[in-house]
Amino acid sequence: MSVNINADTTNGLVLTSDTSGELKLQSAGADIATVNSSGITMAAGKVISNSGISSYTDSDALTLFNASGSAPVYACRAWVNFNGTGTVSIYNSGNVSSITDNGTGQYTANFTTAMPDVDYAVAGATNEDNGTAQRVFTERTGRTASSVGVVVGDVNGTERDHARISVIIVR
Amino acid sequence: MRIIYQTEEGLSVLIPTGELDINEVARKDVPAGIDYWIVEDNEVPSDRTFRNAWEANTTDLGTPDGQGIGADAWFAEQEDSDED
Repeated sequence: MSVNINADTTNGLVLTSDTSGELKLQSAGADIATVNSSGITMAAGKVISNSGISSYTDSDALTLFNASGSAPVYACRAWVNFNGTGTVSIYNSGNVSSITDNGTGQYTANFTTAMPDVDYAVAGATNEDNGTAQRVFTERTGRTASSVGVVVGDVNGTERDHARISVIIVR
Repeated sequence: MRIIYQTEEGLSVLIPTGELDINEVARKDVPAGIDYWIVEDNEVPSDRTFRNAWEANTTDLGTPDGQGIGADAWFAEQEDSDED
């Protein structure tokens, strides 16, 4: 049993009551949603209609990403942070199925879900080595919608393994 | 676990993130038609001094665990299964 608020097509508002602590919203006698101490549960096949976030300039979208001002938000679509030295390992990642160790200072980030095209932007960084040498991060040629290769090395053009390498994809 | 494969450019080592099953990573991220082996982490040397000279010892590795199909074919498979 429950307290029912029914929008009846013949009698208009129909209220029934009990002490169950549960409230049902009904339309023409059919359950639409149930409210109880656990929250709100929609009846089978019923949905909450909501225009939601309609564009990347929608104020809800900006609020969601904690972005001030009105400039649009563009999302990071994949990222990975890994150790390219010793036994190469991944610190953490998102939308990356694996990295490929192709050789000294050469790695590929393979996306779990492909990008829509190859027009994404790649950003990256690599850590310095106790301040003894400047480090360089570049993208290898041959990017695809499903992977991007990167090369890290020093300013003299020598490829080197680094202990913390980050790759970020924005599209 | 690691996935290794050999191409004309040298030996490549795949490090899975865990987002996909390792067998699916191998099928997707190993180039099409290339044999691969799934090995323990410690079977890959940690001394990278001569990293670019690494080669797969296919005699010791034995029968490959499979062959890559490449990312394009793998994503096409996923689209097909989504439509079913």
